Amino acid sequence: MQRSRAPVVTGLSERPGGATRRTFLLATAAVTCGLGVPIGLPSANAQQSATASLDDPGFLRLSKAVTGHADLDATIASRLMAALHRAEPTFIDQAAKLARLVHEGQESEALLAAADAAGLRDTMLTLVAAWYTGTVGHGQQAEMVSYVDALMYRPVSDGLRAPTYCDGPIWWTGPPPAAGVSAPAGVPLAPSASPATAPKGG
Amino acid sequence: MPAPSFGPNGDASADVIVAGSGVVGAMIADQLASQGHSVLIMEAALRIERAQAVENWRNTPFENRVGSDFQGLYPQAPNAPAPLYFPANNYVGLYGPDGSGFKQGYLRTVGRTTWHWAASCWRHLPVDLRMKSTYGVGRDWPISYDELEPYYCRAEEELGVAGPSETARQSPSERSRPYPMDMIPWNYGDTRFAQVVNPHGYRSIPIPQARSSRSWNGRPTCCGNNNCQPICPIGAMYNGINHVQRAEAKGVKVLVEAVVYKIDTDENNRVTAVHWYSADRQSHQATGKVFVLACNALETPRLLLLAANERNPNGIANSTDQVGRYMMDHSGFHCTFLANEPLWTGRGPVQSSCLVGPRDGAFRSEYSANKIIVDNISRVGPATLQALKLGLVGEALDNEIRRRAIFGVDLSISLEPLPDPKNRVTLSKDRRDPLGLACPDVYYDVGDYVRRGAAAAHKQLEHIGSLFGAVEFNIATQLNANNHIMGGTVMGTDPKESVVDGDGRAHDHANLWLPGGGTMVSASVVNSTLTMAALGLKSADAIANTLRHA
Repeated sequence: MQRSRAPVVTGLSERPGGATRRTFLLATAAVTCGLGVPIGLPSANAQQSATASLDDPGFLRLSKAVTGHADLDATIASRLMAALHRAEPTFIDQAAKLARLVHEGQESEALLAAADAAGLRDTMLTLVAAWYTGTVGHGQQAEMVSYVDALMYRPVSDGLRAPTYCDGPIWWTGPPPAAGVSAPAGVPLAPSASPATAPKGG
Repeated sequence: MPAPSFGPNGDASADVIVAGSGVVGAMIADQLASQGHSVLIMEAALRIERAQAVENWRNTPFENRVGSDFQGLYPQAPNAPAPLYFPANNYVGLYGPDGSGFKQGYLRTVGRTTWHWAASCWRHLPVDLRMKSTYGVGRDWPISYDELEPYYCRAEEELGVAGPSETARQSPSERSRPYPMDMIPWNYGDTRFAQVVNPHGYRSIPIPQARSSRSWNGRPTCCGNNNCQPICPIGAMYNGINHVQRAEAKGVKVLVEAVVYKIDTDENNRVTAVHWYSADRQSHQATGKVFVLACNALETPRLLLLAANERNPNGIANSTDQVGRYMMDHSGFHCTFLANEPLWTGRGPVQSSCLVGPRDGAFRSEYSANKIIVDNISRVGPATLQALKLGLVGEALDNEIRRRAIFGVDLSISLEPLPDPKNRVTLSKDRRDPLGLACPDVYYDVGDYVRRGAAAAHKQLEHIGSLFGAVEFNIATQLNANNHIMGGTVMGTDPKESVVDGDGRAHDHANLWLPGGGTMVSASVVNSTLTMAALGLKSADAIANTLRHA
């Protein structure tokens, strides 16, 4: 298909002055305490080593690597990171390990293979799902982060808007774009004659 | 302008007291206010704003959206919950072999459930009103299609229905007037689907729908936001709130968070007052000349049973034990597959074409008819769910989402249950709502007529699937509710077998009307709203007639 994909720039932050995970979490706790999240950090979080931490820019770079999309929004990244942490306090540590597997110019598929070998496959797929669905977690614990910016709408953006948005009155009557992807694989239903119950043209 | 009056203690008085602010209640209120009568509407729950509902939906988590949680975005009144399923609040108790297929998603919000309908505005076929005499099953209506037809025309005008102008694409074609607006244009997928299936008799035709194909009575032209369910962002689709607002402009007063729970009757069994709880749980009463309960086919029977009084110990309008019986819905199921060509589901409103070939035929003496809606709700959500489950990332993930979204097909099949007296709304013996009022229970068994109809539909769907070289072809085994609640206060000439007459007036109470879906004696396979509205208009005429002679 012809849709272009921007080049991916990856790599962990080595900025000495970058925000640490601890300061990030403190900020998160301060912002969310009004929503019933306890103020203060779990002791386990405070004990994380510096090498396990992942700052906002680092999380954004990791996100670009796992999704293969270079143009991700930094604000959404920060909010997803906070939500992923709330959903599973150890997630950011796992993500930091995953970030260390990232190489310049690496395709997402290659990163997934490396993640798989390192026992980080679920971490990577959780992060991918968060970006594509805009949602973290499941059921009553699900946390909504992004709607129209969820990556799932991008693969069809040449022919479909995210529901609730539109392209003006009666916009849909023209021909849709070319498929650009192969037809679904699989064994099709066997051809069959009209069933005895088929309508007779009523 | 005539308006209800209120006493210092909050009690109210009006010519007409209406419980329920949905399409039927609000339209009747609007009709009667137009003729100079004072009307009070009481709605159990909250008034919401469209923009807030849109925002709430955009803030709804992915799984809820893919799972069609069309209730969760609507704020709930503390005292009057709607049935909720994410998670289930068990407000409606479901029993019987098909109770799990009767999970109705109705709103008690001002304007009610047309906030999140898809706006299909079908008419019953003439033969649908004569099922017993034609096919030997079900019941005949006490009124004929010819009597109902002018009301169908008026209802189409009231709701602003867009439909096909060609007779060959109408179902039924027995019409005395054209549709108020021409049909909503089809997208590529609708056109292509029809090309493939129509040579085989399935007869895909445009769905008549209360959606603007041009600017209509203040409604904008549809912009294909593909979000009719659960909320049209721009108001191009009819919602009951349209009639609420029209009625209010004529002096009608709407009370919110007003839960009607008790009904007074006099020595002639005329209704003299209804009592309601306000938001602060204080009881008030409303007196009037005429009383209309339009709370839907499940809540109206519940209220009639709750309101049992000394003269009516088994419930209001229930002297012959008919209230709550003959509950129906278009119990249905979905069929999904991936076609061998892209159909680009999701361009335009959420549904525009429907296969009505299986809607009628001699087979109806043996098994249920069906209709097959070609759903046009965007498949991007389900496609993403499926593609993520495959563990894909990067370009492979993007391509898989695109493939499943544009080749994906979702068909919604509706079946026709026969009216069965054992399918019934009753009052729960152990569950109470926040006001301490008994919650509704429903026993539901679709019966072998529907089960045989489902089997016939399966064969048709397999045939249709084969025409598209379907892969991942799946027919859901679980019946789903369609929120087309009918029965419960059925109409008839014999009070022993019915609750109301052909005008929707209670046999037991000369000034009590129970209009809408509850009165319907046969379900057909088509969405019930237009028929409910037509019957509501017929009731409104009858009410106006009695008020003129009062």
